[in-house]
Amino acid sequence: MERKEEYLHMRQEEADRPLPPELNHLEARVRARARQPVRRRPARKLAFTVALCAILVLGTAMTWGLGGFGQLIRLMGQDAEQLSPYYQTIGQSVDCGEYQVTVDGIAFTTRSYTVLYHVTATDGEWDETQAWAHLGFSHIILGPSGSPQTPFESFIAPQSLEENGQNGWGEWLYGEDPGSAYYLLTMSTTRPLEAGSGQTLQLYFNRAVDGVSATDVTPGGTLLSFPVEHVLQEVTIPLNNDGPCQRLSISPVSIVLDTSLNVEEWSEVALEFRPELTLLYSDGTEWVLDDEKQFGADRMSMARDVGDDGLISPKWHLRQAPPDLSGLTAVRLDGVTYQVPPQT
Amino acid sequence: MTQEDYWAGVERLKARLWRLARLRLDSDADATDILDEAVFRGWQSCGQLRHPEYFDTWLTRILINECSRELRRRGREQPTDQLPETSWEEPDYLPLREAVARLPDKLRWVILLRYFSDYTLEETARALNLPRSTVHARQKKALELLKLDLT
Repeated sequence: MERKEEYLHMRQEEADRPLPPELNHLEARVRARARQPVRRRPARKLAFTVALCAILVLGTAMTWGLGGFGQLIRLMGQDAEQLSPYYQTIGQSVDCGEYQVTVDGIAFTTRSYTVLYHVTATDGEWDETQAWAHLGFSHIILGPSGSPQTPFESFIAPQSLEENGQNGWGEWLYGEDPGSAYYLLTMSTTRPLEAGSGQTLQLYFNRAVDGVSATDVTPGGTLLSFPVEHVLQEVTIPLNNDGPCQRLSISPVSIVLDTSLNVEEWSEVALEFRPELTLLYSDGTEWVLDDEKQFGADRMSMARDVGDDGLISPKWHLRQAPPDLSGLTAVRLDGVTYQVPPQT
Repeated sequence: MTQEDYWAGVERLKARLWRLARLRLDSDADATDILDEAVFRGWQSCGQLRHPEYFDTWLTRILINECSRELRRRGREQPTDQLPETSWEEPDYLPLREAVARLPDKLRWVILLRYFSDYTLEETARALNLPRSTVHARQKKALELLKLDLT
């Protein structure tokens, strides 16, 4: 069949597709939904109440016996999902119509940057699917940009992240808090980041039109600029083995495992890596990457939107930074020890 | 925009929107759910619509957003063993339906709106919130990839 005939045939097939009977009651269904109270999560409310009671009881006990709320906060901090303290605190918000996006913190390392942000529904309403609409809001460019009105030439360039020497993906971090969802947006950079080099991270948020967010990059949005002023130390260790793991990069905020696992362009892949990793220090101490030290220990590590090189690099975001990396001499990965080479 | 106007517009547009969602999501049930969601969200925010003459493309844009959410949700929940082994081949060797399904999202929406839902170039640009020139460029690129000459 000629391509055009095939098109006409497909078009006719779609036009002939019977409409579902549910469409007859669309208005009634939507009106009924609008009468329902806003969806909340009773389980979370209960958990919050229990946690609040526990804080009050424990706090009172600690005030008497263990030295007060400072210890309580430290104790809670071990279990709470808190980021490594090495993120620069930002706290800038952008109004995106239905939602407000707040950039909480940013961390630059030699080969990557990570942005922690959260999205809040401005009308206070929330459901599970809302948060996923916002990953498309931010567009990122490293380096000089145009004017605030037209920060990106033709508004297409920022979609080609690899042209800006970077690739990566966004990740849902905590799931939901009441009214907000938290995300980490993490990007690897092919050009090294260097403090004071004039590099700037620019986050662009589309404007809302008639109360509806855009699905693509449009002029007139809000541009936030963050100069690369402080770059965290990062140690890179080549893993000379026959397996897929090629290189390990360790910083106070994340651990990245570069692999030689290749995937087709435009395809989606999911991989589960659960390596046993121990950092070995010159003074004989060891630091084990266990579940308590990383986010999402209970879920699969997922690599999607694989970069231009087609390789997958799982990343673990740390809740607790490893000790001073200048004393790191070796790492043990799944039972095999690798020496840390001199860092350039 | 009054509520009466809103529901009259929905009534006029719902079949077209359902078919568009059905084409993108490849599921009758999901298309119905997404249309429900889009109409619900539209109803919540129709007071903010400053130009009622753009109602059709405005509601289409909401539907496209909802489809994107659904696709992200699917991507998040798709089990590893159901992931496609390959997803991008030379599209001219594929049946047209499959070739359209494997177009990058940016190009696919343009094709679905322009050639399966009969939106004009202007309407497509408004629904996608893009300049006309960008839509035109994407349309040209998509047709090239599909080896489809509709001039």
